[in-house]
Amino acid sequence: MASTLKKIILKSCDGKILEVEEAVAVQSQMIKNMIEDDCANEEIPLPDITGEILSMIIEYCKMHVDGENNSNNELIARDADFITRVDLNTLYYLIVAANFLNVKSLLDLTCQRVADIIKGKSPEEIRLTFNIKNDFTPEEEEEIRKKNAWAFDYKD
Amino acid sequence: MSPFSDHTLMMLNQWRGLSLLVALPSYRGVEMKLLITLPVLVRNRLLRSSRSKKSLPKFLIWFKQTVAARILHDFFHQKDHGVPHDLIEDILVKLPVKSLVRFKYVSQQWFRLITDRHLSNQCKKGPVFVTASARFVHPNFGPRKYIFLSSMVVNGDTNTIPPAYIRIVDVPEEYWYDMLNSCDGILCFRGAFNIWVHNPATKDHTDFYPRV
Repeated sequence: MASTLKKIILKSCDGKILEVEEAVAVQSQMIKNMIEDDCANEEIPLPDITGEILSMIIEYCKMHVDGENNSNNELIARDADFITRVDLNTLYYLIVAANFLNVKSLLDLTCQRVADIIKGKSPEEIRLTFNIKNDFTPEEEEEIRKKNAWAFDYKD
Repeated sequence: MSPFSDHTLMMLNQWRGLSLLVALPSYRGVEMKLLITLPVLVRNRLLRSSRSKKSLPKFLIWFKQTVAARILHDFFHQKDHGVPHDLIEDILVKLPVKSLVRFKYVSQQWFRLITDRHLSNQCKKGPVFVTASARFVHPNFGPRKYIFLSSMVVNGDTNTIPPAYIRIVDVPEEYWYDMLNSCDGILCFRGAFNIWVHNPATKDHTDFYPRV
């Protein structure tokens, strides 16, 4: 079973080096592709990901590899536990990193979490959260509000 | 990694012997922006201003005030904004329809993203089959401005419809409406004078009047 014990070495942008088992690392489609193309023999530099975020992602991937034999419900519960420990700021970096590393299930999980956080908010709150400028004219705004008035009573 | 370090002075473009210097924060989005906008902006402006040699300092001042200022503004705006476009889309598809309709009005960019057909195609979780029967109002009751669905079944599951969807308001005044068909969650009604197509999820609608 030499292949499963093979280690992949990942290097974060702040110089932290992490050794990961291949079975865990291939959860990332990007790394999987690299291994298939035989480019993963040396350390893989990850320029946009800090050590802290990287170890969180590895924790997540490990959880999924270890939990393969567990029931689906248990995995969902663990996912929920993992994601509720993350604050908004970290969540943002997690999304970007999951997107970069192409870990589909983590990307789904993090995006779902953001969606859950923002779904009950008003457009004004969304602008504040994402720091978006309102570039509608008052007339346009009025028209959209009038047309979709039903969506503006917050009883979700 | 970005080839630019923080706030370095970079020689950006050499054009007709002119070196343009810009302070550049290192950020991927900005590099792109510079590469795209600068040649165009500079060329347009330079062609006009280079006719007289005196205007060169003027040009540099203009450059500093407009292009550099805009780049910096974009940089800070984008950095604060944070989430890249394609990831915003990933988040949006996970939102309930009601939130989506409300968030159309966050900004023009979100409006475009949400009303884009690409997004609504991704949002579809599966085929939606609606069967419903519309109310028939006896002509004696007079014209009404709503359609009342006496029953509605989505994907064969009666529990999935919130009661609010059953009454469709603000339709053109008619004596009666008859439900013709439904497809993908969109309902089609026929009145005496028009055809009324309605999406109960977004409450969007459109109507067709027969040509006279």
